[in-house]
Amino acid sequence: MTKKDFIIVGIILILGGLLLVSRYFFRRDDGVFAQITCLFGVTTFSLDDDLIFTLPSNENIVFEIRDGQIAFLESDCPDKVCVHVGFLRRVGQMAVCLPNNTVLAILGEDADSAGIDLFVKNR
Amino acid sequence: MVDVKKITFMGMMLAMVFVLLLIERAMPALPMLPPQFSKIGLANVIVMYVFFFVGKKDAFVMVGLKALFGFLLRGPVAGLLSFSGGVFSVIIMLVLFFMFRQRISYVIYSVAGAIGFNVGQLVVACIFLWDFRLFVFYFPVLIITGAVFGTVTGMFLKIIIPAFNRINGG
Repeated sequence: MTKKDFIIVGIILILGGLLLVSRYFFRRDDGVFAQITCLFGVTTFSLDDDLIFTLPSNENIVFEIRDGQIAFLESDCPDKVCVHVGFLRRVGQMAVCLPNNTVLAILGEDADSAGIDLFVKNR
Repeated sequence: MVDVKKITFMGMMLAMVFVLLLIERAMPALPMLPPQFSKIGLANVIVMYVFFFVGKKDAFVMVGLKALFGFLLRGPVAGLLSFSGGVFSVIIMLVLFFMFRQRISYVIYSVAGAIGFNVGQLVVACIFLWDFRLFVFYFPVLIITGAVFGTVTGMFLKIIIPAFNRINGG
């Protein structure tokens, strides 16, 4: 690697690092709602109540809300990327299950808590 | 005129892509990183070699075949992501090539290609899910992993170029 390469890669790394650090610096609030977007629409859950549930669009995806955090507990997708993300608690955090077309996002107090209510199944 | 030598060489390169993909699948995910970001992208070394030493069009062909392999092995979503990432990375490298030619090193091409691959995948994933918050959320991580793994694959490319040139040119 030449000096020029080091400088260019270094600049990219610093820019990426700054973006990453700034986000964690500014958005540290604990989430209030979990928003789940799936094929059937958008639904919002309070993170206050512990719950284990599945979605009507796919009963093989299981979510767990515990201690103000939410995670993909189980999924039938091949790569399990969504499950590996683990528990989310801070505003702005997201987890995705691409094969199942499902997005999980953490929202703050200002979120529209009404959303569209989906029928969910307790597990 | 059918160029038998070129077809044979591309076939060998494709076999290398398959082997590298399998090796990479067998490697454990790096700690501290979500598994979807801990892929080094070793197979892209072959795509880059084809890009620089066989032909620009052939690099697109290689990306398509690689995505087809991903589709057969890991399903339509993985195939689509591999295709979009691969095509976008080759487009980025092509733009850089027309702008800078030999003035920038393979490592820089590789870093640009790796970031391009990540961004292409992310854009298509965002369109697929119709949720563009994902782009903002994942963008910094993709830049950093692209820069790091792009450097690694760029160095790897430098190592294999003389060996591959012996097969290709002989």
